[in-house]
Amino acid sequence: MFSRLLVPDTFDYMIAGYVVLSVVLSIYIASITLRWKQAAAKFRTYQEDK
Amino acid sequence: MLKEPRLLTALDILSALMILVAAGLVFFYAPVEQLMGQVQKVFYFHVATAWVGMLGFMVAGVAGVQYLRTEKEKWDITGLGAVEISLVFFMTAIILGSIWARPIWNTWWTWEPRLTTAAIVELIYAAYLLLRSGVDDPGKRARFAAIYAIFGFFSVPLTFISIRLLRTIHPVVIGNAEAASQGGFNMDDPMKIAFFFSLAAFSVFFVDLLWHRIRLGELQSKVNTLRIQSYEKES
Repeated sequence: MFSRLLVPDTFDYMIAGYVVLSVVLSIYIASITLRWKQAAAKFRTYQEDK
Repeated sequence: MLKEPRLLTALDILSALMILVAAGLVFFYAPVEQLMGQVQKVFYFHVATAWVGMLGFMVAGVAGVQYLRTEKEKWDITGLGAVEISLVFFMTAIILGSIWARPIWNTWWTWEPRLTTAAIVELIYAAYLLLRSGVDDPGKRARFAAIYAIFGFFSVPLTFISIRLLRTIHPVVIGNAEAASQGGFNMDDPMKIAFFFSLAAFSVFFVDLLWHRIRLGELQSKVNTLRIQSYEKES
């Protein structure tokens, strides 16, 4: 009981860390997906023109 | 070419599952560190993202060597993909470290050896992308990028050993810490399991992302070739 009271409350920082991690990685995955879709659309267009 | 290989789909699922299990171990299995509280749980993914960053910079260096040996475009695409992914992960590691440092060191940032060398590494590889975009000729760009990635990699081990060689407040979790370090701790067995599983999960995630990024690079290269062919046909 006594030792639990001494543990500092840094919960908000932990949440901030994991939110940043999730947001940054989600944006990067979304960027790869979007770029793939754009390139695939162009690829199909050029293939049809051939 | 557009269809995703089954092995890559399996790797997508495996990496997602491993990240979920790693998060479960971090939040529900590893105990709360008594001196730092919950923020210490940032450490598991902070180290894992930094590890992936360094791994990618190493892959880019190896791809650079391979490109200079063979002059095959796939190595240029691999190097570019590895640097791009590593920049994202290394930047994330720096931000996570900063968030951890605020309650532990009472500051978001300090110019001590680890943070300074990490910032330099991030800038070196950000410059790699900027300088690449400044060279029009694909062959010259690939050669230049390969040489840059090889020399750029020398900055990475410097960052890794900086906290082991220099006087710093950055903790060393594995190995002997500098006496001046603040925020260090000894890992018990559940912490070690969460830590090493996180490293493994992010390594698999890196391979998965790199494979996707290489496929994207190859598709973009193919589109570029078709665009030139189409232009030549018209003129």
